[in-house]
Amino acid sequence: MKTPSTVVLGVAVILAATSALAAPDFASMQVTPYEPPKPAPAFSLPGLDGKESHLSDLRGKVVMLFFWATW
Amino acid sequence: MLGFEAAMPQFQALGAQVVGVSTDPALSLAAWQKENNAGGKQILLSDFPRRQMLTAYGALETNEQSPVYRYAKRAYYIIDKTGTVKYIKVMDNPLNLLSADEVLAALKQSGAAT
Repeated sequence: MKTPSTVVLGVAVILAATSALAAPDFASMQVTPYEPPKPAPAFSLPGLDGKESHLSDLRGKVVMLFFWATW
Repeated sequence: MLGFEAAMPQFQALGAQVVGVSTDPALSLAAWQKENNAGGKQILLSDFPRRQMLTAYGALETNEQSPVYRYAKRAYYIIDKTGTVKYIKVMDNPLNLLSADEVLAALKQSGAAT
């Protein structure tokens, strides 16, 4: 027969496992707030069609900018 | 990269424009895009050969022993509608990357998309 403490422990384990499977935890991603917030440096770079794109073209939109390469 | 392309509807629902910047030449990026059928919903830009944007955003990897070693760190930035950097994540290892779900979660959490 299970003791009450065993049941409580089992429930705690299940809850912990369930939370681990939930949506990504923002804090654990270590995406750090940029403090104090600063203006994004302006840029003007060519796109794949050779046409220049500017950060100012995107004013009024949220921009998710990332750097990448074919590492 | 390809994960972001698949998640473009979610980014667009948040009013977010995804911009990828690479140190590879534009022709190489175009070939990669065509080979991988990556579509065109993301804006892909080339910072080759100047790497000025990498420097401005603190994402240039250098090596004192090699003047030609100037590569991009894998990094993510969330810029709000006013052009202000709200969140930043620079990966220690370029082989590590955030999934589209993680970036979407960060975008929502940042409040930049509201």
